[in-house]
Amino acid sequence: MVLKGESTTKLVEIDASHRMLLKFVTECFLQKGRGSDQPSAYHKLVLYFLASFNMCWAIKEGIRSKRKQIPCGRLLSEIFTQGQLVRTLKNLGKASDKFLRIRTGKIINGKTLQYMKIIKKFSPSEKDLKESTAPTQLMNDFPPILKEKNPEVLNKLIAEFVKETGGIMVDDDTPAGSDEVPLQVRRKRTNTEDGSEASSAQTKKSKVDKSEAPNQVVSSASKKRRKVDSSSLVNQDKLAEARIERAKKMKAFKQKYEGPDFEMTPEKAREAQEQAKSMIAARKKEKEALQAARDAKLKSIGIDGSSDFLEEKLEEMSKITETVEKLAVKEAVMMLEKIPEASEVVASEAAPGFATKENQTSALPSSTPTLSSPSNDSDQDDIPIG
Amino acid sequence: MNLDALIATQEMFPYFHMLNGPTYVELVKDFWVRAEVYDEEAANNEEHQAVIRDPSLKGKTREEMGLETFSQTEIRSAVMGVPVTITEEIIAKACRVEAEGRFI
Repeated sequence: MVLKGESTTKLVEIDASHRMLLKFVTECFLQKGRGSDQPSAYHKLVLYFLASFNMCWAIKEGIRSKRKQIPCGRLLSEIFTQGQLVRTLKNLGKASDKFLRIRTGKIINGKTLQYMKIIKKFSPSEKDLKESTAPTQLMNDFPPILKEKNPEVLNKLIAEFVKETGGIMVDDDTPAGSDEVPLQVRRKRTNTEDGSEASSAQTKKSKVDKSEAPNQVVSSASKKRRKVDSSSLVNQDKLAEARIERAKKMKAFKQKYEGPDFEMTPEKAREAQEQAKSMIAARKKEKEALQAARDAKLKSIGIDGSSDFLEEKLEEMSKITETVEKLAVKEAVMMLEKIPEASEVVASEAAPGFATKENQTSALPSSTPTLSSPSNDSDQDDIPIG
Repeated sequence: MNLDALIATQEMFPYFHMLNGPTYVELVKDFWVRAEVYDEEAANNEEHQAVIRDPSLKGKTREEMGLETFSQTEIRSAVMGVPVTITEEIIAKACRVEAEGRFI
């Protein structure tokens, strides 16, 4: 009709009223996402937009970016009804009307136009469409949307889902109208000269103070108030700094752990924290068990497993080694004194490693060994070549 | 402006009648968070994954790989743990229109 039956008709060739109509249809009824995508007249309009373009695009966008809008909510609900999913869940006792949170869409009618001041007077008629919460009649030839129809299997699947997610609300135990909480409108925050956020009430107060008493002596009450104001401003600055730091940390954390397939959400972070805690607790238990087993083994041998005992033993060992070293040196000296010739020969022929016992002992490390290497020894490094 | 003629030509009156009905918010949300599009690209990816897992499957058909035949684009998800599949035919049926094209 708009294109006069020819799919190749250009946009400029269409009548002005039809062009507007086309714009109206393409931008209101058949909504498209942001971008320059334009529906082609060759496409199956409804199916193309709803199935291939709109829903699939929205799902892909939701996965790729953080798009949160759900298109075709009513159409999906209709599919659930006609596909007998709602009936199956109700029959299994897994979903009550309250849990399903039934909503109806808003209707644009003459009253809306009157509010918009497009028409002056609205006269309602009996034929006007009214919001309906009644489900539509089931179609006999509706294609199945559930691959599994066995109630036992479905029950098991739902039970698993309940285990994973922490339960569903089956009974009508929520207070009536709990989901009809009025929308909270965020207050606008004014920015002060310093760039810090201050509530409008505070700025108003300060303005009043300035205008009312420019030349008056500042009373103690106003002083106190100002003190409180300044302290609250400091607190706000601190809070802002903390917020910035936290945002930075979160960004770094996200960069570290997030990938194209994984996105860190507060829930996931909480889960990870809980898991880490449980793992740490398990490791602690393992460590304690190992220590207990070691102590028991040592006790069975007759050794006290405490650290004091080990220190004592180490001290004893060092004393024994010292005495043994001293005795060995003494004996060697005595032997050399008895045979002076042999000592001379040994001194002249022996390698530096076989020098006198005294030298050897002096070369030996003291009770505390050092890790320093003898690479700085000039005797070995400064050997002339040839 | 009278839109009746356009909507009648597009056979969209039943669609607008259908729009006036209940919306199950919880079910729709549950469906949407788990939804994924199973199109030609996803099917190809599935084949590639199968070949990576078992290189001997290279060059074989989907049936030989043990995969389901790809016939059309599907939206796959789960509602309360129950697997749900939506195809173009289902959407057309829910809109009360034939799964055929029509020029404006």
